[in-house]
Amino acid sequence: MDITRADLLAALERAATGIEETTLPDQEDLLGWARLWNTISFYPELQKSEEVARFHQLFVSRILPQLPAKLGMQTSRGMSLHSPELDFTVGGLLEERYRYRVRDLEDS
Amino acid sequence: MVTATRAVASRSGPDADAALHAAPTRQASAHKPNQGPRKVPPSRVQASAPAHPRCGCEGGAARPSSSAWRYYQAPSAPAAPSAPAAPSAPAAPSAVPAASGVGAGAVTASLSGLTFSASGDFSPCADCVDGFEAIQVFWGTQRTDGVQVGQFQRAFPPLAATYDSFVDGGRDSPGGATYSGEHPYYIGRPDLPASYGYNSSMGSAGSASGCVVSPSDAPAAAALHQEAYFETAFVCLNFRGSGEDEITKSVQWGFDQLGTVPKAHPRTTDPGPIVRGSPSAEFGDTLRADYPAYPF
Repeated sequence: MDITRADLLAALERAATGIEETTLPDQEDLLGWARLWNTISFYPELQKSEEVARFHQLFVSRILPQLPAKLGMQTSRGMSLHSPELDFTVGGLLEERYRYRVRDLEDS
Repeated sequence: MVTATRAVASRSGPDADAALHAAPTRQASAHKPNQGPRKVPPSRVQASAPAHPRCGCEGGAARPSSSAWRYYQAPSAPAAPSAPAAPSAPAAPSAVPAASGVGAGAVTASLSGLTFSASGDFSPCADCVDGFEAIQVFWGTQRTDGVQVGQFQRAFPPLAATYDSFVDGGRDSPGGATYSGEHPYYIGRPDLPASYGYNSSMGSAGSASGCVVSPSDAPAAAALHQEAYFETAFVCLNFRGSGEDEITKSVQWGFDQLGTVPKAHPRTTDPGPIVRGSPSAEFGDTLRADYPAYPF
């Protein structure tokens, strides 16, 4: 899935607010945020910006610890978190199917 | 902001080792990983693995004992010259020639958020018949939900904590083995000979091409461990056709406080990554625990 850098940053801002305000995130929320986190992890240069850092901090401290219980994720290769049922991996190899492809960064 | 990007600080050689060497412990556990919280404290079996012929690092007291190992620590002062051996008659470990076919290695490493990336250029590397790979080990305090990862635990005296340990991408890794048999490698190279037994479904955690090897990782599960540490070593495959590997330099990196604070090793406050001239004794212990027959 392709995304522009501007759209990604906007999505990250919405997601950060969502994490702060949602007390009981559903599966769709969690997977959406996980896909965003995989994306910023794949492009470390993005993490220099404030909005990305804010989302990263919220996701690592509040969402990652919930994933084993809420999505049945298990530790996998590279200390990623993987759900065979959902066919989704957070972290690890950061395969393209589990993240966005930021066109602006691929082209540069 | 939980981002640390750090230029390489070279702290290579035996001095870096010395501070980390302490009597290692290895504990076997009957508990299977990823099967929920451990119900019974693991039985503690003190291991007494023999000193390794190449690194001589078991128990932490001995310096590397072979010229081959020393070569990587002090490439400017190699052993006396001798002719390189043909693949059919591999050289003894003590016969590293002055003009060896493995470079000392230029290693860089960085950590940004939870994303680790490193690169080692070991040109020239004619002695590494099958090129390069990486071996990555993990040490983490017990997961916050009590789930054990890997089959073993170890301690880092004098620290009181016990750490789950395993070769990442190895046979005791929670995600399964990247290669079959005695091949504990991390990255995953489809181009290696079939005898390595690469499992293509595991994908590639980085790349290795020629003399350049670049492992990478984004350990999301570090957020489930109060402390989570890694040591990633660069491996010269099939050294001079001997069928054995040479483990060269390594990088220590990791996190404290549930993945939020970069910290390279249990016994340091250094955020890292720390580039070492040779792997630590603890690295060797963890590798031998999961791969007792791995020839290196």
